[in-house]
Amino acid sequence: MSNRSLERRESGFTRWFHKESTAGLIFSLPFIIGFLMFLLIPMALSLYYSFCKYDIQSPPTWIGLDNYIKIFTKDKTFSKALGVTVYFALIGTPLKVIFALIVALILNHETRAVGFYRATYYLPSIIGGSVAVAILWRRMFESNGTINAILSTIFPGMTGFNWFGEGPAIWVLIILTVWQFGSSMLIFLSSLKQIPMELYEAASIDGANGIKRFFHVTLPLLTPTIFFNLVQQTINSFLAFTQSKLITNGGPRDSTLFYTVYQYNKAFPALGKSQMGYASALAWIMLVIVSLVTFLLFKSRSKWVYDA
Amino acid sequence: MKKIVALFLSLALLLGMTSAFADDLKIGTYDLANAGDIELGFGWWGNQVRDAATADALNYLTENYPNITFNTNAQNWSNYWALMLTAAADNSLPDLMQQDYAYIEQWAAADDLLDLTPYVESGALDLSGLSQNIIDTGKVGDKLVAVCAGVNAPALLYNKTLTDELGIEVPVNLTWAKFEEITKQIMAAKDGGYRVIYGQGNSENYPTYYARGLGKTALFEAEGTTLTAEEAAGYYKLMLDGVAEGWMFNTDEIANVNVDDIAQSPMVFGATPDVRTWCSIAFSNQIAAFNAAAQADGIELGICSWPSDDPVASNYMKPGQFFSVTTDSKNPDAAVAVLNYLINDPQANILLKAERGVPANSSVAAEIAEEVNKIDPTYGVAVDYLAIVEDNSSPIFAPLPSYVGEVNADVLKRLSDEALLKNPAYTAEELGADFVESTNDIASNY
Amino acid sequence: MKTERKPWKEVLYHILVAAGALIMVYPLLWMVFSSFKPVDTILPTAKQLIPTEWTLRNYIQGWKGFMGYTFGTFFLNSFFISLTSTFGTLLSSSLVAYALQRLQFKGKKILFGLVLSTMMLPAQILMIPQFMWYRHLNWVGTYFPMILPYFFAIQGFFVYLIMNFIDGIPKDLDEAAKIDGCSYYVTFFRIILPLIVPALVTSAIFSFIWRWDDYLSALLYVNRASMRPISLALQLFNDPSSGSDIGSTLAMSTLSIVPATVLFLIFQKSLVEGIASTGIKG
Repeated sequence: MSNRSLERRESGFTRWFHKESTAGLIFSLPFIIGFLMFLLIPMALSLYYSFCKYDIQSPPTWIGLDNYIKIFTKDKTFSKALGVTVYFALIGTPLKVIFALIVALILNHETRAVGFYRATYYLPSIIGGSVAVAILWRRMFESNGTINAILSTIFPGMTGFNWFGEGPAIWVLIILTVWQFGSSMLIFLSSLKQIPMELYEAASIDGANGIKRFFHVTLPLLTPTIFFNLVQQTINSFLAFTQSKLITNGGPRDSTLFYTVYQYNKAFPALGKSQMGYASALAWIMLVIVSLVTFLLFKSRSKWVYDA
Repeated sequence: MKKIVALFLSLALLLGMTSAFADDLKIGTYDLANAGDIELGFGWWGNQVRDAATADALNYLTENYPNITFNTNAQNWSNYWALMLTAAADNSLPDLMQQDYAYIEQWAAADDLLDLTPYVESGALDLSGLSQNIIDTGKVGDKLVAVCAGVNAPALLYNKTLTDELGIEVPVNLTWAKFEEITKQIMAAKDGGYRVIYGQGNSENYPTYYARGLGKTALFEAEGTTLTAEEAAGYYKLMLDGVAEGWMFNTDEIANVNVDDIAQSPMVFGATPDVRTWCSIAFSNQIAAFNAAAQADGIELGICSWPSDDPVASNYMKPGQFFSVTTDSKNPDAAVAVLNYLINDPQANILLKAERGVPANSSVAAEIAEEVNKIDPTYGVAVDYLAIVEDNSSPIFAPLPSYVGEVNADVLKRLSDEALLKNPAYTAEELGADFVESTNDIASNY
Repeated sequence: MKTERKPWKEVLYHILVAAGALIMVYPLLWMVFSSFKPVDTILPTAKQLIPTEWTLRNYIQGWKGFMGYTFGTFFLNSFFISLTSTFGTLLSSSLVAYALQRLQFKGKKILFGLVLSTMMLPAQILMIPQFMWYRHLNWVGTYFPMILPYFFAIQGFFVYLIMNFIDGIPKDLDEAAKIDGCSYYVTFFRIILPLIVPALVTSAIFSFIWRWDDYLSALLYVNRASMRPISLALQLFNDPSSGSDIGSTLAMSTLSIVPATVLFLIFQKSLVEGIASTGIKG
């Protein structure tokens, strides 16, 4: 009896409030507001600038597609920087994710010391892109540095090897980013913990040994996380900035010139007028490229990601 | 009646005396004490040492004029310009900003720097202690937009311990031929080590010096470069030959060392001779920093001009940096008074430790010598060197046209990379022609 | 895994993992040990890890800070900024993640695309337009641009991360709650939220570190030395034209990573203590 009176008193608003579609919107509200308030206008402005000549010190002047045309027809550094960045992303990302997965698997193991180990493998990520790391890396990789000292005990030819020469320099940066795999590792660790024990037990009962358990239980269930880390690290690689700027400053001969550094140098040149319009055009081109790559990744998702 | 007059007179005397005391600081003719509570913004680039020194100088002013406070914004070099550009974008530049010779033309053209001429004429800004040459360096067109904060000159700093050991004498006006000769002498004695780094990166300093050595005042003019393709080829030949003969670092070797950081510069730091140089192309206001690093390495420094076919024609005196008042300032009179103080007040300059360079006001420079030498013994060296340069130099080029930034980034860097390659892909003639063509092309778009 | 391990396997495990850890952490050890070396010897003795001469000079000199403000001030500023923005991030991102992962509504796909797109925006380019916009709102010179936006889930990374986690929670739980008469709101707070604690902890650590290391926003929006966070202050020790103080840089950098490290050590257990064998039926 009380139910019926409750039902009658339920207002249209309450019904609407509890609809799935409404709840969806309300929960999404923070982002909707945030996007409109903090991102949309700057993004629109930035797009506008990309069609302008803008040196920051005076108002922008509309020049239409000129920036874009120049980028695609006359700018050799653009293609060089793009090439360097793609190379960096193609090599650095998989290496980073693979290392993260392997170490996560190894550390997914409850011994007393494991917490301490996790911290040490994660620590490099904490130091981020700071000045200290830049100093560190230069000292370690210089021709008289620690890396060569260690390597030359195994490979005598490595004495005095110039890591900062035009060929190897990019690897100094790749090694740096792979060294900081800790955040991906952390995400893998959390996901590993989410895999229900019952599944492993069931597989054991079915006679699967360790390796079979890994390939038939762990790996498939990890694919969503692998995908996540892949997407995340790919985007990060394309947008990497600090390492290139602080350690090699794009050199020698632009062999380590990340795209975002090139873009930043156009926006805030060491000397001379800012080319903010041009830099904005570069930024939007990169946005399109990264979106494309991400889109392709998402398209591939259904082929290899196992959604429980 | 007499008593009242006497009282009045003694009061006047007393007042006169106290105002004389308050006038201790050289702030010019503006009545800063009665200007009301003002907070002045002040931005500069530098490091912790400069920050502390400037803080001392500004605090001293505030002690005497409690109504004047400062909101300071110090950054490192690259962050500084990014920050200032952003502030300019929305008219919130600080009242006072540090400026550089390579930038003032651009900033003046954008109308961000205040013309100080009226203040000089009215006496609010006293520049009588500065030489006219130095004052003129702060002029863009007819406007005086910046005042020299420290005098500077190109200086080749070298490892005197090494040259003494080998009995080599380095003349103060260094010709290119002598430069090459000394380098080869040192290399022969030191297993092929201790060479030189020259011409690298995106700096217009090297080719400018070279062009002046040919008799031109400037490398860049409004329409483009003053060099012909042939002359530019001569410049790139220096580097191609240097690398080919092995006495200059090539591109990869330069990448292996840290030329941008004084403490890690190859003249003062490096484990093996092959990563070391015997000298460093620098400026006189970097002596103190280099000396500190040199002492850590156990070496003594010598100073002379950069190498050139005609060192006297090439060499110049320039402001290490300027101070400017910006057009966004809401208290320009107070800002000018502070500017006056920073330029002309001996106590301020002692507190500033002259680490921006030798003060432009020559009487102040002399007056503070004793005090500053106690803190920084290289001050005397800088002063002496500048005295020599004054007699052994030519007038400086005009403030750089604003297209030079793009030339540095897109032309100079690319060509210097090519010229310093171990296995160069281009001849000197090709590089020279490229330089002239690309530079003039960029200039035509501005 | 409850399988027993032979003791020698255990020892081998420890040796290998420890060796790996040492390699990983060597650069950081270098930084910490070097910060105790006399500043003139840091670079020349770079290959020698342990100092022969110990000094606190770098810490004392570095701590002095700038314009009369010590690193103590900068630390407090960084804490304030990082903690508040992290809190905002966790709150808003989990709300949005729930909507995108569990609820159906019109425009969801577009919203998801927008959320992802925020991960692809380079900070350096949005710098200027954002600066203009925040100036319009009169937020320059305040901490608002560095904190407030994070209360609105603008970092898609965290939304996506939490979405991924919610995905691992069986939908049966949502269904059961619905049948029991729980609204979506109650379901979120009572059921989902407690189960995504690992994701929240992970996000908290990431967010804290990212906010702690962010110097570009501070460069633009902080125009008083008293409000400076550490990330910006650290940059001022090194200026190519006037010389750098590597000792102070290393010393203050060492101090700077302490909070994040401590945070991680405290929370890492709860991070990986997931729902390993709790609550999942069927």
